[in-house]
Amino acid sequence: MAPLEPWEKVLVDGEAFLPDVHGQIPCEECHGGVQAADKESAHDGLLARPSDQSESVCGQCHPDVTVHAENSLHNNLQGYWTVLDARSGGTAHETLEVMFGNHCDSCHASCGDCHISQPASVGGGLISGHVVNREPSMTRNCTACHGSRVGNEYMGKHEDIKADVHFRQGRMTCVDCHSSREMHGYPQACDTCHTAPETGIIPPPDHRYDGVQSPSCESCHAAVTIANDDIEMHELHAGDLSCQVCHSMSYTSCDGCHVAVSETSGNPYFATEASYLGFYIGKNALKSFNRPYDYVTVRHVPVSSTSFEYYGEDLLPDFDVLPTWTYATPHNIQRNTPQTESCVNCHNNPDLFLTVDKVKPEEIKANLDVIVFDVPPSIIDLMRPPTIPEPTQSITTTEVITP
Amino acid sequence: MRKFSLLCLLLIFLAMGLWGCSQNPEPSDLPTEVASTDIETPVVSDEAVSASGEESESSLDTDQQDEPVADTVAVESYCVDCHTDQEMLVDTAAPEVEVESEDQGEG
Repeated sequence: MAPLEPWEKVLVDGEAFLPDVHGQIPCEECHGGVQAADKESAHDGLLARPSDQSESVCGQCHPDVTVHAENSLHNNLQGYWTVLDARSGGTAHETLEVMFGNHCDSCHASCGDCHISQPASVGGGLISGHVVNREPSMTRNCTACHGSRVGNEYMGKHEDIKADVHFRQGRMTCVDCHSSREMHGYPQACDTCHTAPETGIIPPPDHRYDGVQSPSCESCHAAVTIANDDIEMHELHAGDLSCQVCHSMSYTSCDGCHVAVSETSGNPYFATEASYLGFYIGKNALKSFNRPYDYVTVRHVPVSSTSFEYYGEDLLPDFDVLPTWTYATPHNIQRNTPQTESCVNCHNNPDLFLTVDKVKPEEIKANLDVIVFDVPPSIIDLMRPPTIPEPTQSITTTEVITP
Repeated sequence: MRKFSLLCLLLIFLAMGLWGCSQNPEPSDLPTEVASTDIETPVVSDEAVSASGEESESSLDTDQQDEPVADTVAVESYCVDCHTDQEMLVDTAAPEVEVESEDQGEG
């Protein structure tokens, strides 16, 4: 995506925007500033991104949406703090807040970052001449941020790997699966009625793979769920394997991200040690009623125990409480993959599994719940009747106690 | 008697005067605001007069437009006027300082 020219970022499409309902609102109502013929005076006190105060600006007309903004991960970036707090053990929170402000906070997205402009993290700029788009642009909003993994996988930007079938054949965009309810941080309304049997009451999800799957493959592919599609493997493996285990291709993992502030420019920057394509089946460390799978696809997340050492020593003392190979839902789904070709492609094939030799020695402890120590045996071994070992010790009897 | 006649005459004049006042229009009908909204006669300098007829005419037009138009332009339009005008934005855009990213690897 080519960067926009400075004038291009602020050019309003008068024909399209002004007749729109948002075009009827005086500019200064949202943007502040003053009415003046000269640029300097007009821009005095200007709010370039008024939706940063979503409740007081957008919430004037859309209070039903903005009331949930604090729950939206795009807005609160809670996902970062979930893992930072866990790995830091709750210590050094203030130091991590400084780091967060320098490196992570730029990922914050407000209403306008999805509906009016490109996100600030990619330079900003109006998308459709200030027209408020009901649906965000897939390439200029969603994958502008979620590009290096999801975007590249979904649109087939890796050599020799086709685009996701939902994009290639279905021409589906992100919002076809990821609804506004999810994006806006609405509570998972399903849970209020459909409570899970093992708990009765479902607490709020504390990570993104907690709670009801939303979106879920089964929402559209219901026949697979009830094994009513004449595909034997769906009957055999449904429930044991996440859909991606069979239907995903290779995807991106990253290693060793470190952050710092440049001594020359004073700007914050990051550096990742490695980025590579691969396909790894791991054990499901997040097994639950809604995700009962034994095996899931996992990818390496770029964190390391020294990621934030620029800001202080040993800021992640509890680094090992979370795995570095994490539950993943790659976005390059295909009907036919190497895994679906034959049973032997997975069974007794350690190449596809996250075996201990693929994990860095210093990260083994963190990934004990994910590493596959015993690769599923070959089909021949599975079909072989179990052998009953010969008893090697004599059986002793208990004395009968009589009154 | 003469004094009485003089008094009657004075009363008649007074009554006529009061009647006359009562026929005057209401104060709100008075065209008092006209004076305040009158377009000022443009001041044309000696130089403009001495210049060619075309120049002085155009300067007169400009002056005549400036006064009333400034009051009647839709106030909201300053923002829209500028931000829908690509050329104006190109001309007035502040040059962006290109910050070279020091990031290494995929983010």
